[in-house]
Amino acid sequence: MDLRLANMWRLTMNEKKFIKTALTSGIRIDGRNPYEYRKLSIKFGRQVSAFSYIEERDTHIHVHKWVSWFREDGSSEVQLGQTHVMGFVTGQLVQPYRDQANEGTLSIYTEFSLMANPSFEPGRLGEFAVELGRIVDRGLRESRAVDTESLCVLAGKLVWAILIDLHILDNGGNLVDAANIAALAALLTYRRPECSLGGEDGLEV
Amino acid sequence: MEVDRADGRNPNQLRPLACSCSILHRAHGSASWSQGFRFIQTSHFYHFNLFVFTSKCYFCYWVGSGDTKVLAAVYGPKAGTKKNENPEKASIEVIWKPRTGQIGKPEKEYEIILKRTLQSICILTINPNTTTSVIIQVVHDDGALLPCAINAACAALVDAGIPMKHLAVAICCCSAESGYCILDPTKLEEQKMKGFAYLVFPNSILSVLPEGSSLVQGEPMEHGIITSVTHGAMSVDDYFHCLERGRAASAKLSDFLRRSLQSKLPGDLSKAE
Repeated sequence: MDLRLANMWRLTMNEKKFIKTALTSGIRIDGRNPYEYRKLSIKFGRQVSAFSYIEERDTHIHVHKWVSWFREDGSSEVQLGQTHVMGFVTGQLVQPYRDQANEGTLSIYTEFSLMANPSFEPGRLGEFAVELGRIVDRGLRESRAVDTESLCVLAGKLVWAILIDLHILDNGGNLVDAANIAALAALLTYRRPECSLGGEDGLEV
Repeated sequence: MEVDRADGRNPNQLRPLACSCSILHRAHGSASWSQGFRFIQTSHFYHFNLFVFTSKCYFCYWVGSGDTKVLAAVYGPKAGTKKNENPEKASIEVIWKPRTGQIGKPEKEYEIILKRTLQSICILTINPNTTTSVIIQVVHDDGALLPCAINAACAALVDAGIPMKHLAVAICCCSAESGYCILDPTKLEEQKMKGFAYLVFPNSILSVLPEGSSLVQGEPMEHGIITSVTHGAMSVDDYFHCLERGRAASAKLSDFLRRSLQSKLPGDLSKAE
């Protein structure tokens, strides 16, 4: 127990007082206004498709021409000031819940690792990590951002289960915002694999 | 023997490397290491006539997915060691986080291998009764994942300032049925080949001392090997063949690592006269 306290980074009384007095006069410690946001940058999933063709004419001149465009695969990287969050989306075919036989499922897995917070104990899901996961989950689910009915393949037998993995890389404050943006950005770039039904119950993906 | 690799490399060619340090703010040291540019090539052939000229157009369609990228963060040294660790030495703790899903057996194996490798290159007697944590996050996996992680962990340890005897460079070699071996395989190549080996060598030493003083038991440091992990089946000759190729390539990797770490050094150190 003492070891964990020894490794935690704690705020001193002087620092707390300084921040409070600065806030009462409307100044934040990094110079922002009370309603100002830090710089936000979002990088989407990173598959690159590039197209090259070689023209060979009678005169034996080879010309390489390049055209490239990006294709996404369900991953995003969000940086909000010093806070760094990565989101990955994967989908699997599973059996649906009994009471929601024609709806797919959406689940969020977020884990605080030592990478973001030096005081975190690995292997135990901290309270804040669970709370963060619930906030993101409720936000996406209750706002119907994901249409779970469209995730159904075979009613009662097979549905898509979408799993969003949020990796917190750097904790520089305001994880709730950054995690929500990362989850949404990763979902936007995710393309569900095609699957078609064949035979009586066969599936080809 | 010439072999056709899917992305057009020759058997001894590594994928393009990229390394950047100090990318995270909370961590004491961090680095990201990526191998490859995510290209696989397929080609179509299209033939058309253009006025008087007959031109052939070869379309090479390069589709994504050919890079392995790993992010490593280091915290430490922190006070105290875990129960089973020797309190008279510093201990290293490795946490491996896969791209998706929970931690399972393969991840635990990687953690153990990485821990043993890093324990042999760090100087453990300098900070006794402390723990240094190394956290590895897989961003994308396309073959040679463990070597990529070892390289990233090494760069992150340098970034954090943890004392080490020397650096480690890791490489992956595959051997195929006919006996030839290729370096730095992609995931598809790894699955097709008969067996593959992850090899970790100490990096080459650039020293101002005369030749003889840095020898260990009469042989230069570069001839040593730190870790070797093999999967699949390969004959003894194939394995030694892979070792030679790997060792030759590790010299190039050492140079790259040295160059990318040197550019991070503050400039005024060299101007201090």
